[in-house]
Amino acid sequence: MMDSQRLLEQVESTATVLQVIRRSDGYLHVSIGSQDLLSCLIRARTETGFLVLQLISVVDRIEDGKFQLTYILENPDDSSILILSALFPREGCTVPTLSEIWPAAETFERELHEMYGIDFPGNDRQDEEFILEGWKDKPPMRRDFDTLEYSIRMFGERWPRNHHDPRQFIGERVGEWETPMSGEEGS
Amino acid sequence: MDDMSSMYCNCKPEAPRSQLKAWAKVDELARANSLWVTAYGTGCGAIELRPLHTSRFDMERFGIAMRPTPRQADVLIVSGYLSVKTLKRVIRVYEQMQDPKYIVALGSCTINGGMYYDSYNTLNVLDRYLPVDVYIMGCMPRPEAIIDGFGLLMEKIKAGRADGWEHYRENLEWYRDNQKKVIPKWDLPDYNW
Amino acid sequence: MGDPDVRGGGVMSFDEATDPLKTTHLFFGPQHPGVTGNMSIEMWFDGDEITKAVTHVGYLHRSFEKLMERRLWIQNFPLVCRICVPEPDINEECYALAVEELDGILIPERAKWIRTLVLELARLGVNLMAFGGQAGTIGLGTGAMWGITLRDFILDLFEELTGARIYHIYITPGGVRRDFPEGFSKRVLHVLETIEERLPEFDRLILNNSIFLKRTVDVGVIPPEWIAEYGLVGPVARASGGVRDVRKDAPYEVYRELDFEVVTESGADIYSRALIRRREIDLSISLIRQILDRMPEGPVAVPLPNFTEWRVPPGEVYTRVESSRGEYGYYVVSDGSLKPRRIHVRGPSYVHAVPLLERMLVGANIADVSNIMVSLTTCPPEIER
Repeated sequence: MMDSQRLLEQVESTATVLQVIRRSDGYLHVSIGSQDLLSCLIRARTETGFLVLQLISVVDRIEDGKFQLTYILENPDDSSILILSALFPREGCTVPTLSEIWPAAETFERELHEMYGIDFPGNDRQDEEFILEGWKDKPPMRRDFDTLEYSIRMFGERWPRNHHDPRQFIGERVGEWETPMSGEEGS
Repeated sequence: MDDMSSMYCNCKPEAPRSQLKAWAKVDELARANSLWVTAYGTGCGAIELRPLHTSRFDMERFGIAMRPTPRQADVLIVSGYLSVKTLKRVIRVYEQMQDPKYIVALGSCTINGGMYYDSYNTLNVLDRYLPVDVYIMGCMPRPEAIIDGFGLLMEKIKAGRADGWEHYRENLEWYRDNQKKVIPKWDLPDYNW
Repeated sequence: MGDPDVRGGGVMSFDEATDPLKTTHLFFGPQHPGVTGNMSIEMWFDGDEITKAVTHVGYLHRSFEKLMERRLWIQNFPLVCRICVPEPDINEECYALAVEELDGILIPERAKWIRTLVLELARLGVNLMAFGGQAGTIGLGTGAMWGITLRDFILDLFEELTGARIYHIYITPGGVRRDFPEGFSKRVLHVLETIEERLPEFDRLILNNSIFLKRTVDVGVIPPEWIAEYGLVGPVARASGGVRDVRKDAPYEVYRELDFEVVTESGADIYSRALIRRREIDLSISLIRQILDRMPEGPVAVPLPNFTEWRVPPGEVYTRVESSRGEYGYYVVSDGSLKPRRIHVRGPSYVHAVPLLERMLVGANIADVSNIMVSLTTCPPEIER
């Protein structure tokens, strides 16, 4: 298992590390500046042995107007994990493609292009339909897309559903509901 | 689709020929006891169809068998939620099947959306798009429940009440409108049998 | 398998590979008995040799990741198990591990052992089905029937333990839902004996069958260098000589305490992958025996906070679990509210069924398509989720 301290130093030598999100043995998750992302990923692959791209994911930070792109890399020799996150502006989001480096990245990017509307210039297949077919609304995984409203508008309901707020519903059933651990959050 | 138009029939389906009532009884009895199912696992319910083939549940003792192609089949099992993309394929498969044909829908999600009631990609009410003869509830329905559902379908056929396919043919415009409303990329011909 | 240069996929341009004058255009699935689940492959072939293949997925897209953002942390448990139909427990385990790590919940010792047992039982069931299913694709339907029949014994155990055959919703954060019923271990051992009794016959039927050998040896070869290139995991990587098994590399639950070796083969073809599945069956049986021998007594769950007020502390975590098809990962992001911020499911089929399959099929024969597909045990719901 690679020491996460040594790994952190190596990442710091290529990129500006903004925040260490989580670290333990053989697991390092850092957030870096978006301008360093590509160089850092290439360096992790060529020099540190993180040959496998596990996942490209996006978190919609709608309140900041940003997309957080997360790249999860794995070193197949010792199975350690390196996760790099970078923030990109939400409007007109353009992210460099990795399909030249990892062939599997092409598929991940196709999905993100469809689900979030992120542009990956250089990925030839990003405009091909992947999961959805003939989708006309805004990209569905964005936080501001209301899936319940869309579902009722498009597909209708057989009969109107009773929606219960679980807190209220259980409270009515049980009477006063105790919250034993609500005071100890964030421990 | 233009170059493929010669492969489809472009006229409305005809009403079935009127038959002798006594002969219809014989038909129904024969149909009820040899239900052949299209092998199309549209959703997760398909996993419980496989134990049905094996010696433990053995659906062939009821005359139910799997057929690889819709042309040879009488029953289409919609095994769970239908996504919009699958609906188009299911319509194509259903319309290729020979009359008479029946639809069995598995799972709560075909009845009213089930746990995917708020999903943007799954249908909530299946019978607006296809004529369902029997709903089997549960998530997922056990093999015994599926056998029970087939028993119900057999009773319906014997009683001459499994007429979803006739209903579909008579109300084709209504079904087509509903189908076209949810399928954004409609490129099927209007009549494809 | 054709010329090795062509198999790389880089020699022919798209227009050349799909030339309407030279090639035939064919759709394979979604309505096809040879397809695993509900997916389809569009292919172009010249004679009997495929020149270009494109995978189409999305027929099972239920937008789990979107729905999970709309539900409470605990309400997601009935949802996650539906992501993978044949083996739902890995999803529960992955999600539970992530929630526990974010919230700092420590689960009791006995719960860990029970979880491991459930995961191994599920793996055993899937491997029985996949091993038999491999024979089924080349027309040896008996194998498929036997596999599913044996798996039914395991489903009965699950039904007794959890109340459901397929979707168990048994592994919850803080432990498991309930302890063993009385005499359950004895019945598990009895089922293992039944399965073991039938296995030699299984081997004779499938592995020693000359037709099976002819159809699988040196067919669907995956060169070892693709493992890192595509990020291949599980039996697919292990059949090509890669030693990749999360149970060994990054042990979760009690795998650190169990005695086992990673199963590997070097044939890299469909036969090797079938052999891996066969040996995984033996491995799972031995692991289940070890677990039952050493299972400690004690509580099986810790009390959780009030579900309706449960705010998981903010943070991000990536958890991994070994499924029957390889490494399964959950990337979970919490922003400290009642509902998760983002959950991304990384199923092994994602790379196996899309980029890898598209490349493997170039140069293969049409008759081998479903054979190759089943050997990768692609599970479409985890691709599109």
